[in-house]
Formats: sequence, C-alpha cells, structure tokens
Amino acid sequence: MNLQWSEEQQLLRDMVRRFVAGEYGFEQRQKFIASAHGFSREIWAALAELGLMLLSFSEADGGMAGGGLEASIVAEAFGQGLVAEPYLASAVKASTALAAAPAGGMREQWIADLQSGEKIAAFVDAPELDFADGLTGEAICVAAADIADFLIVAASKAGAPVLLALGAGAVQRDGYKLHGGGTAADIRFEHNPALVLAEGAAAAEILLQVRAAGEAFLIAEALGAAQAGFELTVEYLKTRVQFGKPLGANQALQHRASEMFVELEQLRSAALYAAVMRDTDERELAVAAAKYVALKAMRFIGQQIVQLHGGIGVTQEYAAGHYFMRLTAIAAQLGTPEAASAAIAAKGGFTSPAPYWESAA
Amino acid sequence: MNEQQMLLADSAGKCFESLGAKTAFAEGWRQVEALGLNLLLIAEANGGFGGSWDDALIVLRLAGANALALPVAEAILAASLAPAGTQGFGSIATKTSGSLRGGVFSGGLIGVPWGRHADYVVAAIDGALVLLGKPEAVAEAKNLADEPRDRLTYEHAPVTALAAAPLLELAALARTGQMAGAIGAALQRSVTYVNERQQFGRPLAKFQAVQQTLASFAAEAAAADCAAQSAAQAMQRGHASFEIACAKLRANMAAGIATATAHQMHGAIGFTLEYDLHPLTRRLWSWRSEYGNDHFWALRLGDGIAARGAANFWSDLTASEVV
Amino acid sequence: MSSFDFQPPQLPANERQIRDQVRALCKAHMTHPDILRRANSWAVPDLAFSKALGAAGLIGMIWPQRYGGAERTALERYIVLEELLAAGAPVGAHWIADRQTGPLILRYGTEAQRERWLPGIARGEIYACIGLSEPGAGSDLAAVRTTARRHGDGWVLEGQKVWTTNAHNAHVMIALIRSEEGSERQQGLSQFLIPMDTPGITVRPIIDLTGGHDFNEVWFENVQLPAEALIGAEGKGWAQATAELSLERSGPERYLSSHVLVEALIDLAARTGAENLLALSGRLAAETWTLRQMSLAIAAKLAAGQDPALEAAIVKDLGNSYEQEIPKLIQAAVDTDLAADEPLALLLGYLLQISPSFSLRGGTREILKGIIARGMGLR
Repeated sequence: MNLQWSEEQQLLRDMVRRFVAGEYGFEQRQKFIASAHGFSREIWAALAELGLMLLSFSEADGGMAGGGLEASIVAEAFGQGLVAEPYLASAVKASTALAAAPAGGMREQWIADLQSGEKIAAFVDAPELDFADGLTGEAICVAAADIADFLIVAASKAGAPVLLALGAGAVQRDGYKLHGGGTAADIRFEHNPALVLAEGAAAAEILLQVRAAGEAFLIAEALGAAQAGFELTVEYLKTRVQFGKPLGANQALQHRASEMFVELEQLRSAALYAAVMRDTDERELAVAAAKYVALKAMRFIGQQIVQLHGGIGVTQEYAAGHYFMRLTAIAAQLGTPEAASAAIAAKGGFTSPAPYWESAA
Repeated sequence: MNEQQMLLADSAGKCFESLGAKTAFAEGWRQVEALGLNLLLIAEANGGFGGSWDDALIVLRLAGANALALPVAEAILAASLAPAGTQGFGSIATKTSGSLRGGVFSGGLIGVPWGRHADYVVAAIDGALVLLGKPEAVAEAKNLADEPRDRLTYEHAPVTALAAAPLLELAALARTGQMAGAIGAALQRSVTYVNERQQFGRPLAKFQAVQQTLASFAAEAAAADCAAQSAAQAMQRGHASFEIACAKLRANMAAGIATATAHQMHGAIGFTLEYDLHPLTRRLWSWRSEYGNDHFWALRLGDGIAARGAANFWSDLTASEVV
Repeated sequence: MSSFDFQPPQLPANERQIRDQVRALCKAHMTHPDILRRANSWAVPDLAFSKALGAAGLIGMIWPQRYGGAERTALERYIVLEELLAAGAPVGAHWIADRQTGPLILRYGTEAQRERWLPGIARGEIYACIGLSEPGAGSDLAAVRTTARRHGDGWVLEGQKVWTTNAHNAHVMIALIRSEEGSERQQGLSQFLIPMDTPGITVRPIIDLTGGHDFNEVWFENVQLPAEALIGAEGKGWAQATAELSLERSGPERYLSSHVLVEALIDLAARTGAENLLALSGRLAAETWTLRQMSLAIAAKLAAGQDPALEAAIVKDLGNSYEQEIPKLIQAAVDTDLAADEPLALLLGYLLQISPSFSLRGGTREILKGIIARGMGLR
C-alpha cells in the first residue's frame, strides 16, 4: 500500500494550504464569521476558481474526478484554517448526490452552477420525510440550508428511498449561525414540489455514498484542526515562561503533549482509512470504525489544547479555544464512540461461545 | 477515634499484621475469637463487644489493609444476625439455588466465604433471612485472591427464621470497608516504593509524572475511605440503602484505578509472588465484583433515583434522617 | 496510617430549617428558571437576589454582628451555599465578596476598613473582584509586575491585571501588587483595596468561548490611592493572598457546577427508562454523594479552626475531574437525536464548551496534584 501522496495530490495539498494560510488567517476568519451570512462570498468564489468545486464530479460531468483522498486533502487544510465556508454541504454532500444521480433534466445545469461557485446547495438527510403530493415535514439544523440556492433531499416515497431536488427559495427556512463557525437552518416543507433525481435502490445507494463522504470529510477536517491546535499548543509550551522556565520543561506537560501526539497519529490513520474506504462497498463498517477511533482522539486533543493553554484557551480572541470548539462540534456531529461501536457490532460477525462463568453452576 | 476505638485498632491491627495473608484457618480463627472480634456488633448484654458500625469499620479496614486471609468480615456479620449465643464460626450467603419450603431447605449456597469451615451460615433465601447449620456436602472453590468461596449443598435441612435484615447491603458495606483498607495499603506501598527505588540517578518520586499519578491514586483512596466511613455512619443511624449503594460503587471505581496505578508504579516487581502487592490487588479485583459490581449498584441507584424523580434528587441526597 | 483524614461530620440541628429557608427564597425569586442561567449560577449576577439574600442575613453569615454579619457557624453557612448552588441561584454578584474579600478584610483589615466595606457586602450591595493574574503571571503568580509606588501619604498604581472575574460589577478590587521597587518573586508584594471608581482604571471584557462575559482585563494608569488602601502588612501580600486562595479550594461549588445537567439527565432517564441512562445516573449520584461527604469533612475541619490543605487539594482535584467528566459521560450515553429544545441538549451543548474552564479557576490541575504529592510525602 502506497502511503505517499501522488504528484497531483501533493499539488492540490500545497495549493489549498497556501490559499488558506494566505487568505484565511484567524482575524480574517473572525470577520467572515461575524458577517451577515456567516461566510465570505469572495472566499467562496476564490475556492471555485481554484477548481475545488470540481472534485466530486466525474470528467464526463466536467469535474476532476477526485476521490476520498482528494476530499480529505481539502478537508484537512480547511480544518487547519478553521474554514467556515459551506464546502462540505455544497461541494461534497450535495455534489456527491448530484454526481451519482442519473443524467437528465436539470441535473447538468445544477452541476454547472455548483462547479462555477455561482450557486450553493445544501443536503437534507431526512428519510423520515414523506414525498407524496409534494414534500412535507420538518428538518432541523441542516448545514448551509440558510444560504443555499437549492436543496438535495434524501426522503421517502411510499416507503421507499427517493432523492429529490428543489429550489430553496420556495421553502420556509429559519437560519442561524452555529457555534464555532458555519450556519444552518430549520426547514419546514409543505407540499413543496420537487424533482426526482433517483428512486428505490439507486437512491438508497446514493444516500450511503453521501453519508460516508460527509463523515470522512469531517474526520479529515478534525485532523487538520487537531494538527494545527496541537502545533499551537506545543509552541505555547515552548514559549510561555512561568516559574522561570518554559512550561514545556515540566515533565507532566511533556507527557500530556506526547499523549496528544499519539492521539493525533491515531486520528491521522482514521482519516486516511475513512478517505480510502468511503467509495467502496465496505464503507459503512469502515467509516464506523474510523469514527470510533477518531472521536476519542479528537475529544482528547480538543480538551488538552484548552488545558495546556490555561486561561487563554477559553477566550474568543485566541485561536486555541476555537480549535477546541471546532473539534467538539465535529465530534457532536459524528455521534458517540458507543454508537459507532454499536454500528460495527450490528454488522455482525462477532459472536462467540458464552463465557465459561455463565454456564450452570 | 475515641480511646476505646484506638485500643480496638491497636489490638486488631497487631493481630492482623502478624496473621497476614498466609494463615491456616484454625490457628487464625482461634486468635480472632480470643480477641472477641467476631462478636464486635453484638450487644454487651449478650456477651458481645457492643460496638457500632464505626467500630466495625475500623476492624474491616485493618483486615483489608493487611490482606488478612480470614473471614473476619463475614464472622462479624453472621454473628450479629444469628440468634444470641450461637457458637462457632458463621459465614454468609447471598447467592442460592434450590428452594425453601415449610422451614426446610434443599439446594445450594454459592460462593460462601470459608464455607468449608462454617459451623453455621446466615443466608438470604427467597426473600427471607434464615440460619442454616453445617451442610451435607462442600465443593471447594476460590476467588482470584485464593480466598475460599465454597458451594454448600443442603438436603431437607431445617432452617431457623431470623429477623429481617438487608444481607446483601450489609455484606457490601463490609466489603467497602475492606476495600478502603486495601486501597490505602496499596497506596502506602506505592509511596514507599517510589521514594526508595532509583532510576536515572534519582528516586522515582522525583519525577513529576510519578507524583501526578500518585496524587490521583491518593485522591481515589481518600474517596473510598470517606465513602466507607459515611456509609457506616448512615448504617449506625439505622438505614443506609442509598449510602451503601453509593459507597460500594465508589469503592469499586477507586479499586480499578488503585490496582492499575499500584502496579504501574511498581513495574515488574509488583507482579512477583514474593513482593507483597498482589495479595492486596487480587483481593481488590475480587471484591470489586462481590456483593454488587459497578453495574449492579449503578443500576440500582439509578432506578431508585429515577423513581423518585429529578426534582427530589437533591433533597434526598441531603436528607440526614431516615427516608 | 494515611496522611489524609476525611471524617464526615454531624450537621447542625437546625439543618432542615436552613434548607427550607433557602429553598423558599430561591423559589420565590427564580420565577423564570432559565436552565442555562442555572447551570452557571455563581457567575450570573442578579443584584436584586444578592440584596434579598443580604436582607435575610445569608451573606457574611459567620462575621461579627457589628460589621453586619450574623455570627452563625461555618457548617450553617455551608448548608446555605450548597442549597444555593444546587438550585442554580444567581449568586454571581456577591459571591467573591462573601467568600473571599470579606474574610480577607476581616482578618487583615483595620477597623476603618472593616467598617467601610463589610456592612455593604453583608447587605448584598457591595461587590468585589480579585486582581491576581497578569499576562506574565498566570500559574506563576509570584511573577506579578503591577507596581505601587509611594506618593506622599498614599500610592500610585501602574500595571495590568487579567482574568479578573466580576471586575465589571465590582465596587472594590483586592489586588496583589508589587509595592517594593526592585523586589523579586514573593518578596515585596502587598495587597490593596482599590475602589473601582478611582480615576485611571479601565475595565475591558474578555469574552469566552460561549460568548459569555465573566473575565476582564483591568488597566491601572496613574491610579492614585490613599494610605488606607493598603490592607494588612506592607510586603506581606504573598502570604495574605495564599491564605485567601486556600479558601477558594474547597466548598460545594466543586461538585455542584454541573448539578443542573445531572438533574436533566435523571429526568430523561426516568422518562425513557433507558438502562444506560439509569446506570449513568446512579454512577453520578455515587460520585456526587462521595464528593459531598468529603467536602463536608473539610468544612468541619475549617470550622474547627484547622487547615486541611491536603484534603482540600484532594477534593478540588477530584471535583475538577468529576466536573469535566460529566458532560462527556452524558454525551456518550445520550442519543444524539435529542430535540433542539430538550433541556438536556441545551445544557450539554453549553457545558461541553465551558467545562474545560472549570479546572482553570483557582489553579490548574498540575499544581493541585503537586500539592497532593507533597502531602503524601513524595518530595
């Protein structure tokens, strides 16, 4: 197994990192987040110019046929910069859905709009919504739904999975900013007409792809945030002087930093695994396993970033606390390690004879 | 401690220290009986020590701290529940199979501490507390710490009904006291060890990481100890279901951290038979599961608290009187 | 025998009556119990509530009556405090003044200083803050550099304090200042009582990760103080401040800060009957109960005039771990699909953000463990 990036992947990596470092500094970020819609149209347009909206699409669809690894490269760089643009919702999840849907109808137009960065889409994962005489029901906390131009919805029709698309303008949305960056909306559908992109087994398969892509992206983003937060922390330990010596001279703190490093490597492996496996048939099990490892790591690292920084770790003005918040937010979205292990167990294959002490005494 | 308690601690401590983890039952039991320790909770009017649960806790902690290989805890409990004047060594049983009908028991008592030596057993069968004599048959078994946990079989054995008492809770309270003692002893061993043992030219105790780890260990030992004392105090007031559940659970959790840390501090030598850490840690591992493991008490507490409702949680927690 | 000693005490005979009184006061005042406000109670200022408590004689409870106190016992006070915290009452405005500033003034102040400040504090009308940390002096407080230079009979202050809780509400600051020029570390430090309306003082809020305002930065530019601003002995500031810090190290707040969350969990467990939630409720109950017993033991020792430094450090450390574990344990156990307005969801979101800060108040974890290690005979 070749663990080196290919030349194109390395180029992509350099390009995105350079962009984030140059255009998305901490102070700039705070301004973008404070703005009316919680993100920057200029940054979004610049990302489109870099071609990042093309990654989820095949060459036939005018895209760059990027896979899990390419997405993870972007995710990691975004995590490092705490980028709060609607990339995951639009360029990963909605785009993956559109890419996998059969050709025809408005699909190609929407793809072109997304690729150019002119339009933004959000993905609504809501199989409990019923599509009968239009789409009806509520979906809460849908990422980027407040700023989206159109919505891709995974719902149900007569009990079977269906993938829909509709303009966001006609739909009732209550938008808000999320803690730690990003925006979302609560949506109320009331017999909204929608176009059917896929049905039945095809729609079910697409939903699995989208979920795996979304979670793999989040894990890689967490890696980026954890990496940057860790580096910031190590730097702090080296420079902050108390009791006449740098904090890092204290053995107990060295051990903490070492533990963080070990967890960071675990997180790196988890991100890589999820990225590689997200487009395979084993995706569900693989992503659940990656989540299990990643969740413990990102929680630990997030907490330690704050702990080791002392007071400034909990203030708005300094980046450390924001890494912690982002890691906590990602962890909250991914669920709990217990749920991940339950998902793994549900896949089966783990049963064994009852332990000896449970036989009749 | 008052003066009487100090004398008790002194005599029991000396006795247990000399008996330790390698004692033959007959000789050890003789010494325990000579001190009257088994009659600790029995009223003076009935020939006992007239002690409280605070007094019993002193003895139980010492037994745990010395990794005593004798059923002092069980004997104290059994004697306090049996009719006045019952002679010999009594043990206890909370796990049974078979049935009690018309004052006669046919079945088995499982995991009875030192059951093979018992003259009588106080057992909780089908919701009743009864007294049984010697069994028909004994199948010997041990826990992880080589403490006897035998299976006693009875065939149409007549039982004596006893006044109701929460045997499982009382046994859990006893174990909590023993665990507090054992955790404290493991801590002391570890402190001594790191102060003496040198690596890289200085004692282990000089390493900050060692200090931090032992500080956490000390905190757990303190928690277990305080929990045991508080539960004993509550029992002395007459009713301690909630407190015993909390204390045994807390001691269980502390035991997990204590055993791991003690062995971590000691490194390889802690696992050898010659070094005297394992009698403590193996007891802690065993006792953690006896008379309710973590899950058992967590669920029991949770059920009770949920039934009372969140709005009552704080007032229940702070109620000093019998609820 | 062990180095620590935790003996749970007997509580006073009027315990029931005190609890009923405080519960009634809270119930009367907290008519719209916002669950997030309750969750962070001792940081929430409510001037009307502070005054009501003061009027009921529940601030400065153990102080002499001639300074506005009620001359009650430390254990009675403990009962009041734990009832307030369990209820999530908004005690933020007067908390520091009652717990630390008042006792400091009582112990080291002149009659004039006591008469000037204590009655107002006891009435719940005067609030205080503590000026300790500076940008270069965090866990290493001996590195403070804010200076006080003699100026006629009085002093002139220059410098900066940071992480000053409640500075924006306070009428007075007790600050640790370097009063001897050229002095180093713990030498040459003094404590000053600084009225916050003295010209030259600027307070700027520090917003935390939840968007909340608790901490502040405070600048002193040519701040002129009279001689009577010095409290205690000149040059003895370090010893005075250290004694004050030990007061912060134990008390019911150590295990009650997430109490509101625990209640929300119990409520959810009762409604759903989910076994994992019931078991978690039981576990948290056991830990709360144990911490409370340990805390009471310390309160009894303090009431008896002892100085249980080792025990206090142990409880603070256990309390910290516990406070930080609670949100994580609950998040792990609870279905993430809670409705957005479910109280537990709101609280969890909030406390996950602020819980790392719990252990930063009053000294970070490593320092505490160092104190415990010393107490166990390890150094």
